[in-house]
Amino acid sequence: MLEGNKLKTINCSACGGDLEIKNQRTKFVTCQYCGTTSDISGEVTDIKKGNPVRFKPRSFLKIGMIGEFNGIAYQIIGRTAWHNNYQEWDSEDRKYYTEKWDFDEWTLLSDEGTYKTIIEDKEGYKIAETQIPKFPNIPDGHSNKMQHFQTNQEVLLQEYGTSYIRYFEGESTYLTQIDDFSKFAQYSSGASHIAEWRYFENKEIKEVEFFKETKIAKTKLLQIFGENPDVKAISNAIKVAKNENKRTGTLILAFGILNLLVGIFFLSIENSNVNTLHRVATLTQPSWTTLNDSTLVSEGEFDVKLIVPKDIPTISLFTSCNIPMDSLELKSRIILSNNQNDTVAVIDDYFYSYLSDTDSSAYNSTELHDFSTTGIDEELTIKMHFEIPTAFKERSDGISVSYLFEMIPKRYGSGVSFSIMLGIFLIIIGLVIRKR
Amino acid sequence: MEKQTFACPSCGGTLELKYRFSKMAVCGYCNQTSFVENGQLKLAGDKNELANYGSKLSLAAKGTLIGLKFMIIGHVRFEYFGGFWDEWLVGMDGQSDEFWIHEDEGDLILYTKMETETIPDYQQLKIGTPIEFAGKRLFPTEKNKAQILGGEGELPYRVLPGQQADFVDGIFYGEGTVFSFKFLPEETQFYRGQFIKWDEIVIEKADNPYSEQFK
Repeated sequence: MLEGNKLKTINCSACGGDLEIKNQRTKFVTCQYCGTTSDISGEVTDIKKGNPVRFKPRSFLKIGMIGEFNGIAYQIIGRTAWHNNYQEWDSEDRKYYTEKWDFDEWTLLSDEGTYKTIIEDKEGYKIAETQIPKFPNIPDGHSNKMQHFQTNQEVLLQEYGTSYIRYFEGESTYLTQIDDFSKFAQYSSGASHIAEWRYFENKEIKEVEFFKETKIAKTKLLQIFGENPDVKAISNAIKVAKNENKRTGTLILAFGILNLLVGIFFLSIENSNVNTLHRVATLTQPSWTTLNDSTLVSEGEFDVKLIVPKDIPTISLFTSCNIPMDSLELKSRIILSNNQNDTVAVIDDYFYSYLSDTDSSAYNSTELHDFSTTGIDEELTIKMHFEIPTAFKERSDGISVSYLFEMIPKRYGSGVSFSIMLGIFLIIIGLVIRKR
Repeated sequence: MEKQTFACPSCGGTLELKYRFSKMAVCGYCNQTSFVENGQLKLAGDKNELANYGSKLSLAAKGTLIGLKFMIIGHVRFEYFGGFWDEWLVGMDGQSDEFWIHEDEGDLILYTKMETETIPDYQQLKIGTPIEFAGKRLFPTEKNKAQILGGEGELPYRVLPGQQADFVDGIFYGEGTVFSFKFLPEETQFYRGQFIKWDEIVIEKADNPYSEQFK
């Protein structure tokens, strides 16, 4: 357990509350119960009173808490609530907007007498450190640029404006007066780099300070202040919630993976039946009829069950792949061969057929007049209406016609797609919940 | 270090001054402040005792500082509206320069006194407005009225509680090191410094300056 300083305890002159003094150099202490500031040296009497009810701490950080930073114990001795009126650069609109912002500045003191500052606002936490710039500068008041503290390159101001003190609690070696203000300008370069300056009453600048602010995660701060009883309780509650999230996330993740695997499995079945041409039949002596002066017609009729792999009946293929029965796409390749079995022409085409077996009577329609199917379930019959140019007429007696079909299930049946999409969605959700 | 021995003009106690530039000494027995004048100690001001605010540094502390042996010879405390700060006069082994450690709000700066022919006017120094001085560009960062709260040990200038000690601090532009002007009634001092960390100071002994060990 880290030991904090408690040099002495005094009573607030207004409400009598116990005020623990932790810093030997402290001159002022502000009661966290009633907001009254006491000057320990008794020199300053006109000190504005703060409103502790209005400016409560935002989260778990509290005066007196001890945290260990890189092996050095720091104790929180003060909190200043600030209100910023400022201009913020919008990189999309390329102009400044007037904004307001509230934040708390926690002052920590180590046993060595060194200080640390934590900035807390509604977006999280930052560690503020004093920096000595190689190229110190402040904006000239006429431009929205300043010089980079280390490279001297011109940089655009991300924010600039005025910070007002709204409340202070705890102890300080100097007087922190409500409504005191300072000006600031900030640019971003990895971390936030800030110049802050204050004025004498005659408007002359009294002091310029330079800071660098780096974000720190709440979990890291909880770890740093983990020895404090209040934080332990919060950490335990978070741990319980995290375990619960982990469990829930794991379940969702597992269900998502299962969905994905099922989807991929059926997708692979679908894909295994794609791009395979199945020879259906060969008409060695097709009969040709004249359609018109330029076209001969030959028709063939085939049982559709021949065009699917033997171990997967048509109807099983449809149902197992969750293929809607009304959206089967058939691809055909028609090969014309001569008597010597030399290929004289290859015709690839797609035919779209609309099948239905809801009433056990096959129905089909096709936009292409040269293709039709009839039959029920796996007993579908395909009729081909094949046309060749009349130029083939003289050779038509010697020409054989082979019909080859490839069944292409409509791209990923909606059930498979849904399964995969749901799987991916659940995996993402599961991972997010596990990480929370 | 070459020692000079004096008798305290107030209590008669023996004061051994180890710092050759010492112009003032505070008696370790009775806290009487005395000036060194014409080889003698003369009473100056009231007795004063500085409160211990828990610094790790103290009069006669010995050890190593940035790798060199050192000893704390003197101590001055200053006060201004924003608070107070301590300055510790450091004797560094084999070094003739005047070194000070400034301790303020947990920050430590090791300053070396610089000799200059001219000194800028306090009123003309504007915070945030760079000036050219001694061939360097200075960027003033803080300016304030201050006064001396008190001192102890041997000191190279006259320290009287309540004496004005206004200051202007800042940064050497393009270098990232710091400077400090101190405007005392009798002189204006100019220092060049750099921030140091506590782990750069190894304190071996922090004894009473008038103990045998210190001698």
